[in-house]
Amino acid sequence: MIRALEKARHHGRRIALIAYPSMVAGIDILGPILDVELKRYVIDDEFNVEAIVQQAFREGADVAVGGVITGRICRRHHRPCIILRSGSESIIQATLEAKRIVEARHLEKIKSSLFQTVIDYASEGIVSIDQDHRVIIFNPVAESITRINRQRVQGRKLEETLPQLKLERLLTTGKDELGQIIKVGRIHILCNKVLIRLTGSPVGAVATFQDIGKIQQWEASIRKTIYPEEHRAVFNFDDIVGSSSQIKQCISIAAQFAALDSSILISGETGTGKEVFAQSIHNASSRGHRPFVAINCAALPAQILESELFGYVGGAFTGASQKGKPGLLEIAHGGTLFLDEISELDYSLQSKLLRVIQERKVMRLGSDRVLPIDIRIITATNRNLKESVAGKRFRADLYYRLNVLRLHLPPLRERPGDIEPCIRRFLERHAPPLHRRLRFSRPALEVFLGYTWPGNVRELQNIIERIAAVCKEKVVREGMVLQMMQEDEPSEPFTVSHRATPADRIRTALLDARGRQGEAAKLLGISRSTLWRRMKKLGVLPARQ
Amino acid sequence: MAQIAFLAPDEEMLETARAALSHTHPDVLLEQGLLSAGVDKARKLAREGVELIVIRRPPPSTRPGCP
Repeated sequence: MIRALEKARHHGRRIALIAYPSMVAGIDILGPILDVELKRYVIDDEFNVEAIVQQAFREGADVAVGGVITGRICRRHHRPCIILRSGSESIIQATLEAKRIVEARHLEKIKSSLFQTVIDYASEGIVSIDQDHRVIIFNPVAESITRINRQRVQGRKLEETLPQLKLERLLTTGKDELGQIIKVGRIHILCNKVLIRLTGSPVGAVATFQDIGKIQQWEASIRKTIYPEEHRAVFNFDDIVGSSSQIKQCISIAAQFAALDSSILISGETGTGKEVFAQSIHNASSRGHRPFVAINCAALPAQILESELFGYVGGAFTGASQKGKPGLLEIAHGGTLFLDEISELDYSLQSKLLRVIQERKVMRLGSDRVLPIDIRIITATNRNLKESVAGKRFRADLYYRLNVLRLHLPPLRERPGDIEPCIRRFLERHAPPLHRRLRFSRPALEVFLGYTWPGNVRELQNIIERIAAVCKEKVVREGMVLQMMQEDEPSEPFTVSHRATPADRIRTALLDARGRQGEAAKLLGISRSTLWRRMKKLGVLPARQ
Repeated sequence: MAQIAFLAPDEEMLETARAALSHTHPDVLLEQGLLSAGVDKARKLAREGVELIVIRRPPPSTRPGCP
């Protein structure tokens, strides 16, 4: 500017400075310094420049100082003009400033892109509003959960489009709202609402939420991944052998039960295939791809069964794993829990199981964390459970909870027509390839048909397996069948023998261990639960310590 | 394409800019244009991907400067 004014002074002392307001502000001070009469002409519109130039010279200016346009107009009117030019320093300065801006914009774009990616690919729905309640963020998951198009809400007040969320309330209350369950349309969402503050003052709010149904799916998938794959049902209705009307009716009823979700009580003598039916029902049900967890209530002492069913946290009791253990109820989440020999369930455990069924929640031993569970319970018994209820050995309330759907499996002796198909199926399944065409003589078959089958299908299966393993003929004769059936008779506790019976051995071990079952089990080389099971089976009473 | 362009209002300023920037900031694109010709040039540069255009005077009603 000074350079331009210095040049202008050669044309005369009266100088008209024609420029935009910022250029002429504070310029008056240069007049006395340079000994010139400086008059400012402020431009507010570039199309008025010509009129201003003419006005300046009309008012006695000797020379004009201005930009390129002012210079052109002066030249046209043959008036002297000095053009204000940017020097190298200001051009370099402007370039450096431009580079800083470009760099800042670039960093801003990276940040914005990162932010956008996080929002777009977050597994949660994200909705954010500014202090005027207007929606500024509405990510794709939010669109999918609420079934509202982003364009419909973006920039609009949230209470107009998604009033259920009540996010704007935070701007008034100043309080975050966490872990809320809100119904949006037909689905429930789990929502966290947090206030956005800038230097302590609220400037907006953000809500993050998930479809609860989705959370449950993930949970099931996590449980499936973390816990072993052993809890699977392998049998289907096709595996149930028999052409009798009784077994066909059972299959038909069971198939109907599979379509429902109520508890089932399966009754039937030992070996009638209660678990096979339970697995088939599970596989045919909507829970078929979820776990099938089976446990025999008679197989374990009450305390161990409790920890197996409910699980425990690390160090919950002496001998508990430090890592803790999930219970079978927890593992069965989404699937089916099969409780065999339910009549043998300890009375105190019955009430705990009842509570689980009623509340659909489970708590590991030693934990205060409640886990919601969704399981279908199928129970089985070879006893008359109603008699157990009458005898106060089984809780009536649990009985009625379990006995919603009832399936009774007939014993094999009541359906002799199924014996031959069973024999064929077991040969196919168990016999070595050469023996699969094994035939049975008529008298041999008569033996099978005349037998009462106290062990039912399981007993028949064992005998067929045994015959298939030892028979060297093409035809199985009556003698071999009888021999194999005799071998199946229980011999250990009931036959006279000069050797100690298993019950005697257990009694001796208990005496040696002064009644301590853990030590007795060690002496016998078996686990404590096996000892307990054998004691129960053989009727050995626990010795006093 | 350069990210920054310097749009000079006349040849003389273009030469000044060239002398000032060609060695130290060769990545800056130098162009010349005044009034509507300058606006057209700026639009073309923006279309071609230039992110920021340095001009001696901002467009009317944005920032003060000198015509």
